[in-house]
Amino acid sequence: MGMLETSHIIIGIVILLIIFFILLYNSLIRKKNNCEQSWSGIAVQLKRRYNLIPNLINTVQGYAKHEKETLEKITKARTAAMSAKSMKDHEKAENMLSSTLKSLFALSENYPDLKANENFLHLQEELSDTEDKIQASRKFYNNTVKNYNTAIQSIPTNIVAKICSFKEKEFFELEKPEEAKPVETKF
Amino acid sequence: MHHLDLSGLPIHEQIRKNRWKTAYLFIIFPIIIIGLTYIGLLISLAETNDPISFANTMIQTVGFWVLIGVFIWSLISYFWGSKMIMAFAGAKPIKKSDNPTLFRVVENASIAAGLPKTPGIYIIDDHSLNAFATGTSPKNAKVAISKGLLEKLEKNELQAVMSHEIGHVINRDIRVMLLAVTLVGAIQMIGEILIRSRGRRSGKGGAPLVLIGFLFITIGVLIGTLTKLAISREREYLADATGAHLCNNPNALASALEKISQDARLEVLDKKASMSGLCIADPSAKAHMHHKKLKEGKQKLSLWQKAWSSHPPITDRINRLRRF
Repeated sequence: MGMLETSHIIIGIVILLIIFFILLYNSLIRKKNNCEQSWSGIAVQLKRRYNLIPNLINTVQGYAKHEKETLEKITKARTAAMSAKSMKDHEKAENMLSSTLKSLFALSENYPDLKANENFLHLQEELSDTEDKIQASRKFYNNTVKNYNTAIQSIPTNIVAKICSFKEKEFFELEKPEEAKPVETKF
Repeated sequence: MHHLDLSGLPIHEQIRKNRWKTAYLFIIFPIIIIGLTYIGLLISLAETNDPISFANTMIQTVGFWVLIGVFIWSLISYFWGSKMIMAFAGAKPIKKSDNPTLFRVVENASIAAGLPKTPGIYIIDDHSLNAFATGTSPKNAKVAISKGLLEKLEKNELQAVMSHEIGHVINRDIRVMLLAVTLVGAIQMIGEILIRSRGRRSGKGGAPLVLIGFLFITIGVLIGTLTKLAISREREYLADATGAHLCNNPNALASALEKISQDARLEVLDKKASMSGLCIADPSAKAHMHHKKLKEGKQKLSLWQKAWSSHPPITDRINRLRRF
């Protein structure tokens, strides 16, 4: 009798542990999915920016023939951003893109005709809105990453994370728009 | 009502702490219902000869009505609450082309908060300065802002105010407040039903019901209302912290609140006192007086005045935000 009871208790404990493990595993999966979903939120906004740029360059070319260098820099930054593989490369390329765009808009002050072009104004507005939305979605992404990383680091989820090899995710850091300096351009 | 001084903690921690503070306030409601029924029973039992059959009657009557009452009330406020609120406030939905700036501000705050979609955006045709959020889940959330406030705020302040409202949405405050309002309403309704039940019941059987009903609509409603207000105040601090976090700019929210405190009065909401908890600042005439008083004399509100307010003193909120 005693043996039977003990084995029942042990089986009971094992089943409880398995259930507990499953619950923790599912919570980690949920948090990981949150990160991926929020990353796609950033990707949507970044893509919107890539798509607006060729249009912008076409518009500016007609008015500001002397700003070839700046326009080339933007195109280069865009290509680099689109082909970035690691998170660090991505951050660098996107920051570069933001600051080249910023310097283009600063230069546009010298071209009254360009500044009066409706298409240009529209693109400028769209791009600054996209910039804001990139910052907003980045904020949400970093929150979900923080949530996920904290779960991986804290007891008892860290045990499950270790067994099932959940890896911490990287934050996506961008310069604040007001901190990004326009790139120097020669005249 | 005292508040923990959380000023030294990062915003995330404040939000976490505040969530727990509200959760235990809700325990008061079942305590009121069960406690008052018990007291009513105790008093009446002393005069009854047959306690067992009496107890059975109580379960069938009181228990049944409590369930039905809470259920009906929850349904009404859950499904019609937020629609009625917009109608009461005279708020009209706008399209993106009507006010692109406002639209983008709300879009960005929703993205930063990770809402599944941008809430419906409404404008209240009123020159006073107020804003509120409604909707039972982030999916059907709506935010409204008065014309007066829209004109008066700088862009960063508008971002802060809308972030505060989005804060109410992600913290599920609308649901929490509807629940609190519903519970107080249910206590009152049950009390009234119990008192009226005297007519249908002959003689001594009805007396305890009337007594319990009386306790419900006096002490029950009183404590329930005070609890509801306490929950509302905590949620307001929480939305301030969340909003400041979302827009990265506690100072803009503080300066927006300073402007709002000049004239937060919304006459259209006078008959909907339960709604004031959803506004960024208390829209009632009484609160308008408090705002003035705080502004001019630097006087403090008494404990009594604080306990009967749906929002913490606006100067307290501003000071907390300035310290972030």
